[in-house]
Amino acid sequence: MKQKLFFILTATMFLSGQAVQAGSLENLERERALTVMEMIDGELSAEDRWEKLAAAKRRLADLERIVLSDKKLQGKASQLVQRSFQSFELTFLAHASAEKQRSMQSHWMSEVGLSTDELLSTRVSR
Amino acid sequence: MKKINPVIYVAVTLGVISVCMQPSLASTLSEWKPNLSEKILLLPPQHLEQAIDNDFSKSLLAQDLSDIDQQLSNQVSHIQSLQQAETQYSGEENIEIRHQILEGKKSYVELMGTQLDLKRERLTTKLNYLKRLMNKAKRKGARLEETSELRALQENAVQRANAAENTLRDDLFETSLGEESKFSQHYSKNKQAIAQLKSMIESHPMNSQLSSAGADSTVGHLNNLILSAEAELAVIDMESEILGYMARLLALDAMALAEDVAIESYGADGLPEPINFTEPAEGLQLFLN
Repeated sequence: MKQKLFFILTATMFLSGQAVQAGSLENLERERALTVMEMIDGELSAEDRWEKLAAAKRRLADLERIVLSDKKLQGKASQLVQRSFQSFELTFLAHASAEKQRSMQSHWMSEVGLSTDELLSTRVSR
Repeated sequence: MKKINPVIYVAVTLGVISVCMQPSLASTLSEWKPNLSEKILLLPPQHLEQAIDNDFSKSLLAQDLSDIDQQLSNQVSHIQSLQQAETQYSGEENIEIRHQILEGKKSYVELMGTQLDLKRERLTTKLNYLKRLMNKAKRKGARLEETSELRALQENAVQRANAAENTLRDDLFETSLGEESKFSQHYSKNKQAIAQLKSMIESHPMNSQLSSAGADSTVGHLNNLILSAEAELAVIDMESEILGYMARLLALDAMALAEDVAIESYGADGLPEPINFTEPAEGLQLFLN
């Protein structure tokens, strides 16, 4: 019984340690995923969405700055780092949308091919 | 004046000759183990050799070399003073002074041999260390080359983000729901400080000197240092050869002194011929008396 308890405690400590060690890029990816979920959440009212996305943009901007000044990522040739920096438009949503002078939502939608023109040109079919 | 004992002189001569026939009496007295981290490669190339030399100067080997330099200097002045006095004496006293000069030269050759061995030790250690650094620098260069594409992407991302920073700040201000985050406040303050420091570094006269002289890569500079160390080792080999000739000359001087001592003791005929008692005729005199 004591052994089991010791094992569970050790495993918990190990896992909690792992969570603390998440890198800056992983944190940004998590926040970005939450922001995208808020963008496409059909249950949110327009006002709520605007408020949530404004707060998300502030958080994303900070996280993007952290990633861009993270020395540990310099020259780190992992798949995640490479993919993230190859697609600046989608990884650094706050900065890229400001660069294009668009809202973060319309910027993301345009980048994933959900622009108004593209939606209008779609055909309804069974 | 006390009579010179020829046995002593023969023993001394043999001793000098035996010393001279040895290449060197130096043994591994002390060592130098470079105690520098890999971060030495981050130093500007010009400072690399300086850091290695500083590390050497703290070693026991450097201390021993310095001690031997001092001893050599004392020995040379001792021999010079004896050589000046040599002409003022004659006969047995002259032989005594010549003997002392030979002893002094013997010590000089021994010390010089030790010094050359220590210098060789220093250069070999330095050469091995430089070769290790060279391998590390090459591996680092290969790694940098592998990640150069990613680095370019990262630099590009930073530039684009910096360019969009003001627009983003305005956007955030317009859509502000609350106060600016703590990180954001510190970020802009630190960013400004870094930019100021960077511009100071770029305009620093020493930095321009380093960057102009640092055109050579670290690998290139290490290569030059390795070549220089190998050239110094070649010089040490030549100096060893010179020392070998000195030792041979000293042996000849010792033999000449031994002959002079024999003449002084036994006249111009030198040492009496030893009688061989193994033949019966040689022992005849014993029976005739």
